Amino acid sequence: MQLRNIARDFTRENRSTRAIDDVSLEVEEGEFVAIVGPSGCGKSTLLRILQGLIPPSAGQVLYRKVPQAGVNGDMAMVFQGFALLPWLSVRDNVALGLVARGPSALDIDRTVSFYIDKVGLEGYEEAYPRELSGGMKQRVGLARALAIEPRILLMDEPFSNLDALTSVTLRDEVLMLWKDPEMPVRTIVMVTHIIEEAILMADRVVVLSRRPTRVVREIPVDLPRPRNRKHPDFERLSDEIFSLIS
Amino acid sequence: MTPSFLKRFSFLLPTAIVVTVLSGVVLLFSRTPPSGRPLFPREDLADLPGDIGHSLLRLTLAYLLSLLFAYLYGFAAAMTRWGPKVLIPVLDILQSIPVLGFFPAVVLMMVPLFPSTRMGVEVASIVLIATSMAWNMAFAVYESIRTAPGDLWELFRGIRAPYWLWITRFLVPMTLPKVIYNSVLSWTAGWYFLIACEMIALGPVHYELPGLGSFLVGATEKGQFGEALLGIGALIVTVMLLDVFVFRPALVWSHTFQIGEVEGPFARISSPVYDFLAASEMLASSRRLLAGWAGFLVRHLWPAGQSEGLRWSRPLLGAIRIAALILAGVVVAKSVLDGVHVVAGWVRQGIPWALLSELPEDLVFSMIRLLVGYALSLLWTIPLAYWVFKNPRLSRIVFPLAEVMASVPATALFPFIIVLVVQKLHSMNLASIILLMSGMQWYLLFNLLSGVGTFPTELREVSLTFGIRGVLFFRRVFLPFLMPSLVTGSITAFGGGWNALIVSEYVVYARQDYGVRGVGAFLDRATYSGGHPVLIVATLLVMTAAVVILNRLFWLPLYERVTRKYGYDS
Repeated sequence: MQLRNIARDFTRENRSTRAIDDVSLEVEEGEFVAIVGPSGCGKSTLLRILQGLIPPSAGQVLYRKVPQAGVNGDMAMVFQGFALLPWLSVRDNVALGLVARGPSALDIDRTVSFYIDKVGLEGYEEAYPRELSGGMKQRVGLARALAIEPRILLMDEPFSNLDALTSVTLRDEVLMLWKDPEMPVRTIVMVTHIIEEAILMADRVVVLSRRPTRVVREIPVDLPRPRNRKHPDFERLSDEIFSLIS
Repeated sequence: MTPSFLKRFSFLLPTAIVVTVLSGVVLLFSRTPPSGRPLFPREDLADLPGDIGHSLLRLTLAYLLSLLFAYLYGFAAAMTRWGPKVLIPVLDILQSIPVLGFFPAVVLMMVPLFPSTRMGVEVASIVLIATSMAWNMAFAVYESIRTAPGDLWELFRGIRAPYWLWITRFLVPMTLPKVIYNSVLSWTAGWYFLIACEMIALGPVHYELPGLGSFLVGATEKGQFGEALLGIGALIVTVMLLDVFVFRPALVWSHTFQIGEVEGPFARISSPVYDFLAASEMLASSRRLLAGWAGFLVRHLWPAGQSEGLRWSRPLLGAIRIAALILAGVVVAKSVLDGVHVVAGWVRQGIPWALLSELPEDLVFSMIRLLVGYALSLLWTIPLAYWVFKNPRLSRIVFPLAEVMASVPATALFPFIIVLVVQKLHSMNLASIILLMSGMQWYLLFNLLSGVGTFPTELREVSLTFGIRGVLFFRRVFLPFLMPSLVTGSITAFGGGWNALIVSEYVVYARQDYGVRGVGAFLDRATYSGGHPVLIVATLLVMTAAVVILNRLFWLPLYERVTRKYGYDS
């Protein structure tokens, strides 16, 4: 998929400001791309333009070489604030995207159980989000996104509302799911403000500037997986990105 | 029509609405006033259960009607572009209209539309009670939708949810906490208006609406105080049973739909009935069965594949829009023409300037009475709040007691108060103020008590460590902290007061009328004794204008200032 010269304006008090200016980006199938940048630079907006939730003010989004119109059903989003429905059980939350597509109840049940097991939520099917810890909530969010079997998984700061320990385990699990041959998801685009997280997980890190947002640099990460943050190359990369942002 | 063309004329829409409403009011009162003989209130103890049933049924139908309105209006206001700009200001004005004043006119309009008089009066009363319940619920729907987290909107758009999924899983659940909380408030208001309607119908309008209200009037008029007390007792029991078996379980259930932390005065509410129902296996299985059926129906009504929801073809949509515009234009033009015609007729008859000129003075009298009622309410609610604050254990007694007292619709006590005050003390002015108070004081008390309930421990401790006690504490800590609650309480109290004016300044009791000078009495006299329609329309407009102007120019700025200055963030 491709972003071509994307720009996005937003209006506040009748004054139009350019939030994102001329961003071009390409994501190959099977790639894990992380987008990092200073806070408030429009990373999340970019992700929403990618899925078609927000139209760009200028430029074009190409999906499989065709201009994308409306919301792309081949993508699913994992939200920073989990976005779970408190009135639905874990099972019904995970099933939501499938119910929207309308396969038979039996198919939904089977798929939902499969993904609930995959993210390690078995036994919590009938629980309500209120009763779960942050980590468990994000597992539900992840299962819900995976359950519609998207080609591209979009993650908007998925670990920043979790405590440090939980996010370490959940990061590893996402990586395992990504490499899991049973998973149809091959491509992941993640937005984050944590540089280490980007280097730890992604094949390529896209660094964005302050407003108006542009791509400062794209940095391929060739470190062998599983990655070690004590590795000298890791630290070198981390320093490089840090200096680009600040 | 281009959008910019439409935009240039966007001011026309609110103007058209106001003009249509005005014409509607004019037409409403152009009908001839009732000419019936005074009815003798029928009253028999054996009728009491049936009367309660009648009242409950009327109230339930009114509630369902207002719920339907609230969702239609609330969704339209929250999800259309012109909703917040047009529908919300209109709703704001609608909610400050003293609806009781419209009752006789609505009765006159409805009666010819139905095969029997009784049915017309019933429908009129239900519509009127519904208007006392609907506005806050419509606001609740609107606010819930507007404050729904952006993430959830994106989630549902991202999965390309069909309409039915939007409604059943997002839009309606989102609104439930606020709608259910407001339903409880609406029922309280509903009782008040229900009893008032039954009394007005029986008294000045001369129709019979069997129910608790007419029972109470009948009993007191015959001097059967024991029976009247029994009626009030039955009313209290009914209200409390509803509370235990309907409202509390519903409130607890609504917490399931709360996004984020559960807050507010009902946060810690518990309900054994809800626990019982939630634990019951039979209920759970029947619910699953129902959900299964609903799912089956939905799947067949909206077959899969139409995942973007209904799609209208563009020309069809345009045609519908133009047709709707033309239709709206015709309706507006017709009602305006009719309105002008009617007004012209009135002018030819001669406008009763002499009577009309009394109106401003009457407004002043009413306002003085409102202020006195308000001051008297403050005089006992603030000390009580302070007393409860000093002795927190008291809240366990005061709260339930106040709840029971407030649950009695003040209108139910009117016959008593009139008999006691007017016949013994011969002062309708005093009776009128007491009646006004009964419609105002509870709002103050409950807002103050809930303010006291949130008094932070750290503020108490700070005062203790620095030795701030007595008058100093009351003036520098306690009262400022309660300021926002006091202002909120005052706004709602005056809202209740304006409505109470209509029933408290002029009372027909035992075929004799008692009145004082004021807008409420002015309106009642004009309506019931077949006064000039101009008088009625003018009074309603003056009252509504007074309420709207006071809200806009006094209460809202005050509320904003007070919350900014005294709002406490720990």
